[in-house]
Amino acid sequence: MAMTAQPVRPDLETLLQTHGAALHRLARAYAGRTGEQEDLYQEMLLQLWRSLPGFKGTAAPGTWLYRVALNTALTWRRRTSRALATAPVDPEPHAPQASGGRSQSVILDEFLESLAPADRSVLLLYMEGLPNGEIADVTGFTPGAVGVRLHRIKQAFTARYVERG
Amino acid sequence: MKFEDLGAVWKDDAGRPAAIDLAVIRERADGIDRAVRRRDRGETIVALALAPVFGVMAWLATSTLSTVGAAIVAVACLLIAVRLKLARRREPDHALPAVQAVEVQLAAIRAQQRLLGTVAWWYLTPLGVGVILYFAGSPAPVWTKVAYGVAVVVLYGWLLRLNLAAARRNLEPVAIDLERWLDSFRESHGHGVR
Repeated sequence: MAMTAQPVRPDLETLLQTHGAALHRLARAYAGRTGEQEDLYQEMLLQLWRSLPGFKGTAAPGTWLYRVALNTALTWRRRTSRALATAPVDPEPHAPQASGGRSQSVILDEFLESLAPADRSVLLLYMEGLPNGEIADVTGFTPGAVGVRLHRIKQAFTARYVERG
Repeated sequence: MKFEDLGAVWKDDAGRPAAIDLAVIRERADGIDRAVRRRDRGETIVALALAPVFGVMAWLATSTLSTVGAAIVAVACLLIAVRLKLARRREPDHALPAVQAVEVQLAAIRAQQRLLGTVAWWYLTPLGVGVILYFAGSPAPVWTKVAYGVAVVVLYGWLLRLNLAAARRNLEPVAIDLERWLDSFRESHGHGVR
């Protein structure tokens, strides 16, 4: 009789030792620098724990972790966006500006905010050092589409912020 | 700053996560799972408990009209329990790739909308017709039967409005939002989605 091998569930504690800081940064990207970053980070951990029994082993543990974290962040962002949609609107939205005089992290935050949700996800995973194939596994795009998006994001960034000498 | 430097800037700036006790997270997760299971069990138990009650009422009824009415309610309770179980909103699967996860959430919201939109046919009409027939077959004076029928129709009409409003107000904005997100994931590179 054929036996089906059970996938070995990843050890969350070990995974977090490797990827905890990356998740924390992901939380910052979607919740901002406010106290909500910690709330979102905890929500990610909660969803990771709840998703653990469903781990099928079809994706590498790291990919699985990024998927859960990204989906949690996207759900969080949608929820807070809907709440913000009913709040008073800032009368002077901040348009992206050239980099002059501002810190690199402020520029990066501003650039991330200006991106569409999908592009923001791709850029965040890229900045974490994930190869195109793994970004594709996390987002659901093809690796080719990830490459095209990254190229377009790079063009947008260069056009806005890179000072020409 | 160059595009290639973004990763280093990003990693430099974001700080480390505060130490979090995983046991606390596990406890919270277990609490949520327990609450979901309790809610699901409660819904099923209520629907299933009413079916035998109306079954006995159908058996003991003294008129054909009341027997038919109670039987309709008993069968409706069973069907409603099955319908609710099939339509029960699953927790979103966070382990799917982002695009598929949003698609699954959107499909679930649309299913919820369909369920609420057709509540008149699978929930309110069978229960309403059943209780009106049951009471119509009783030996009560005609005017009380008419008054009871009108009251049931008004109450069920109000319940129908509540359900349709919930579908429109609570679920439609979420569905539109999810569609917008999906569009953002598909736009200009739709061919690039697996």
